Amino acid sequence: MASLPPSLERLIGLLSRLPGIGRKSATRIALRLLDSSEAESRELARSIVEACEKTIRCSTCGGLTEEDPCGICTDVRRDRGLICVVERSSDILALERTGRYRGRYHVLGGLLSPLDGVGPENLRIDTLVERARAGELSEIILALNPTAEGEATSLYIAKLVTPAGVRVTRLASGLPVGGDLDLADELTLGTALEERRDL
Amino acid sequence: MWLRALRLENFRNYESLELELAQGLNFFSGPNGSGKTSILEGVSYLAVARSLRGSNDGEVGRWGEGGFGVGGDVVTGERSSTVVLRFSKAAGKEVTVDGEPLAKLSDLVGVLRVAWFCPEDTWITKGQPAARRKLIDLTLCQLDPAYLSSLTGYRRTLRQRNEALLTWTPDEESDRIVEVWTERLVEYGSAVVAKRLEFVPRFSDAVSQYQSFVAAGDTLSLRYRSSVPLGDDATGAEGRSLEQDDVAEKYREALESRSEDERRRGFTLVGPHRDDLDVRLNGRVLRTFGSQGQHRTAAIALKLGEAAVLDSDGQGVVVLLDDILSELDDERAGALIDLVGGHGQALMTSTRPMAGAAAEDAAGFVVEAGKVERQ
Ligand SMILES: Nc1ncnc2c1ncn2[C@@H]1O[C@H](COP(=O)(O)OP(=O)(O)OP(=O)(O)O)[C@@H](O)[C@H]1O
Ligand SMILES: [Mg+2]
Ligand SMILES: [Zn+2]
Repeated sequence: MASLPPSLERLIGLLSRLPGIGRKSATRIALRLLDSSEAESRELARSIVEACEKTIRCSTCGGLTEEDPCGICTDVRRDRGLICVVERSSDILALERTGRYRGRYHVLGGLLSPLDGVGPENLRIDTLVERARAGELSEIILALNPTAEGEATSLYIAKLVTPAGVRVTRLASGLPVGGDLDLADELTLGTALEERRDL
Repeated sequence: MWLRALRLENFRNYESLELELAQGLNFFSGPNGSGKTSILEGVSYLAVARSLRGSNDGEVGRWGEGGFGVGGDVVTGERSSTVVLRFSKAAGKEVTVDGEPLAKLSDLVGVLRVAWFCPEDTWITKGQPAARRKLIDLTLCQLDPAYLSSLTGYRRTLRQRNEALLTWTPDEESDRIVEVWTERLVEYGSAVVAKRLEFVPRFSDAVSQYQSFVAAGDTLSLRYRSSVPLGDDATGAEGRSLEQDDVAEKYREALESRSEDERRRGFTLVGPHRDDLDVRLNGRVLRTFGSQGQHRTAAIALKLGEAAVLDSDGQGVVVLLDDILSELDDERAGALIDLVGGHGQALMTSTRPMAGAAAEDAAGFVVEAGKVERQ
């Protein structure tokens, strides 16, 4: 195989590091980018840099935002008594897509996993407990994937926040076991949310 | 259900194979190393998404290739569906049914059920408890997707809990972590044990029907032996089975009583991963006294029982018999073929050519260095 120009090779290498993109797709994307105008490619490069620079984590909920606290946390129409706990910020997108949730969120940033050396101190659990103790809150909905780690993390959180007098619920089953919240369709997820039950 | 066609791609010594199978008996003969077992192994991938020969996915792909593919057309009643499993080192395993990718491999369970017979089966009654647990698990997983998911959850939680025990330090936080994994372990583990308790008497009944494979007048029976003390009435073949809640309570107590021990030793001491299935001949545990021949015939009775249980809802099971006829006298070989035929489809291998009465009805195939010819 004839070797590619080094700069193109470098671009393909970087693109193929992205999730779900193999060498083949990376090459296709790179070749497509070569066809775009200089203005277009600069725009793309600039928006990548800008997104990386401007996006921060909300200090309250841990979600992605440009302003701290984020739009969801400051939205007065949202129910301040309700927090939905998720593993990753992408789970917020999935739940928002259902259009059926009007509370706020809390992103843990992972799940308990002794095998990976992940303990409570590596997750945003202490800030969740703080939010639970601060008053206001009446219910915490645990929306973690029903894997071994998700279930254990749910239980751990329930043990910590129940003494604060907060009701703890979880999504109704119907989500695929070991499945990704992110992949669940809106309808299933919306129903799981509405039919949530006490942990 | 039965398998109408099998396709292998870069699988073991097959570069590419396409086979039309018969609904009844399919007989594969060929010299050692020609590729007979590999055909059965391919079928096992379509049923349980892994090798029932016990190999890792990485060992199964043809040498020098990055992965392999197995495909098949499964006929259930009037319907036919196409199952395709692909493995590559980069992407792992992916399964499609009629072109639709499955979200998880466990969704494949139940599409095609198989019972695998091989000469190593004598280790079921002779060897370690793990072999007997595997027999129960493989059967129950194919019957009950909920069992598979409890078992998967249990195994993962067990590993997590063992790690938590290993890194445990005497403080409140560490205790809380172990406690959480303990509760989860009890949840999954009690579901596993309750289902095994319910299953074993059924299995025992099925096995005891294959007396022709045990010497005349002898009886073979099965009894589940739980590492969690469950009380007398729970484990007997005739006894009632316990509800999951009762098991959970007893399991919790058992872990409680070993908790200091577990923290000191750094791993989980009780649970379904330590349980056993007693296979008894005339009331005595076969493992401790069985002769070579007794182990072999008991293993066949167990496997026939497995096939019967898998077929108990009339859905059918594909029986895979790898090289076991040569170990039997003609009379037993004939009886086995008849019994297996009762469940529908069977794939059978031998280094010898087809012979005997059964041969007349069977579809014969000759296997030679990764090529298969219909006779
Ligand atoms: N990953 C692999 N790639 C290529 N060839 C392989 C691979 N694994 C095993 N083989 C070879 O494939 C051949 C078929 O093996 P298989 O176990 O199916 O033979 P068999 O016909 O069942 O033989 P036997 O009668 O000895 O049991 C053997 O020659 C084996 O060495
Ligand atoms: Mg073989
Ligand atoms: Zn926020």
